[in-house]
Amino acid sequence: MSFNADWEREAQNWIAWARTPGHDAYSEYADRFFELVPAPARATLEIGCGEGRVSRDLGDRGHRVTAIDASPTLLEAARAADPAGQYVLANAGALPFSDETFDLVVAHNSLMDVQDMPGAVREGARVLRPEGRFCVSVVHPMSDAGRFESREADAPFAVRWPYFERRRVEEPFERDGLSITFHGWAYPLEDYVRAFEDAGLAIEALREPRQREHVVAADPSEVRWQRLPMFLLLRLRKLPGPAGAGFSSRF
Amino acid sequence: MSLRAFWDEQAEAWSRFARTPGHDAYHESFNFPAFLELVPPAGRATLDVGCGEGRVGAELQRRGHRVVGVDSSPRLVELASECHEAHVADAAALPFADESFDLAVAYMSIMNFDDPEAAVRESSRVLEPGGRFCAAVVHPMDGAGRWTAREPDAEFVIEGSYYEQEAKLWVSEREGIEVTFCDRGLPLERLARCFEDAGLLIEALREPQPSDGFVLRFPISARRRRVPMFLHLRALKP
Repeated sequence: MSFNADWEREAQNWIAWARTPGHDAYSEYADRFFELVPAPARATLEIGCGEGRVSRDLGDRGHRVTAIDASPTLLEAARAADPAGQYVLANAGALPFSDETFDLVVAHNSLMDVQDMPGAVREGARVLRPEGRFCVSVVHPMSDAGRFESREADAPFAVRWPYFERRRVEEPFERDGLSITFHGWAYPLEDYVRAFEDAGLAIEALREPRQREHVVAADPSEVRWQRLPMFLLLRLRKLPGPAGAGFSSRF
Repeated sequence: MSLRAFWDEQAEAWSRFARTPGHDAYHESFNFPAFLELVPPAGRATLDVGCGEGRVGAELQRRGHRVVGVDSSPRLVELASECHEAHVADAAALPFADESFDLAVAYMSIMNFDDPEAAVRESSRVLEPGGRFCAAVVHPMDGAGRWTAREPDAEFVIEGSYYEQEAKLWVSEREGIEVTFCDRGLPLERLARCFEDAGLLIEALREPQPSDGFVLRFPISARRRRVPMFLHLRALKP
């Protein structure tokens, strides 16, 4: 089964999960992501918008957003919640936009969920103007390589899978009567950065946000995420010159 | 004790460790060859920040670089001077004019500086626009945890905080050479902020793994295919 079919099947679960207030980690980490996002310019693209919360939040911040997703059900939910928005059914690996259309591209927890991560990065960079910015959130590669041994605050985190292996992740979660299975892949940091490098994108800023105090106060097990980062946030800049010029030809 | 005083005290032991052929195989056959793949070809002038006894600069010089090294330890600078130009200097206050170099390297040194932010800022200052800064450090994931046994299949656990890594003191004692290492991992965000604040863009990043041949020679290094040991970065001064 292709990845897109996985998320299409999971669509209703995801809509409920993402739209139940305070249910998803987004409520705890989104502000840190938006700190990295530049001020609105002419046009912003979101890759893998899902039910649309990031696009709506970008819109609230003044961005003129076009958003794509490959799941018809998720895209329909995004449209219904924001009828004035631009939502386009498309695959991240073949964006239906011409080169250099956008000033800003956003991929919020979607690069690890597409089948061809380097292809999605390449396409995102192609539709970005030179000096445009590409803002990314992914599950942190280190945290994806292992698990905490318990919910105790001082639980050891043990590496369970080879860090360097591109690994399929199919992880079911259940909380407060809602369930979801995250379908994606785990990558080492180098894989992401090589994809950026090949697409002519350089890292301008990188963050490893810690869990917030008020969340820990409500749920002491969350203190574990003040010891280890759950997400990795990046802001990339598209370097002038031919994309994918690579190391040797730049010298 | 400052990290600077720590390394000066060990200058003699360190140079025996670094200069005895085959003694530091992780450098010779694993870390350094991978690092060299990130280093641009020789240009106008190359700065080696934290040059130690000079083995990195010596190899770059063989490859045509005009190398100037700096280190805080007078004895190490004396040894490095046998290989290339070298000066006693604080990485946080480099004795060079702005834009003096087109390449700076910091091989396994940033995490040994008392003020890594200032060292990267200074390295960037003495780089010309379009220049590159190449760095190798202890991988932040490695610095955060420990192996539960000395076996190839040992488990790796992080018991404390990735964000506040403690310096790990350990002694290497082989073939009559004893060196104490003080490994301190810097979380990735702190490293990246050093670059960001210095106006540098990270254009390449590697997490090298040992080769098959290396794992055959040193079976315990197989675990370095499960948890990264080193992190290499190349940054551009736009």
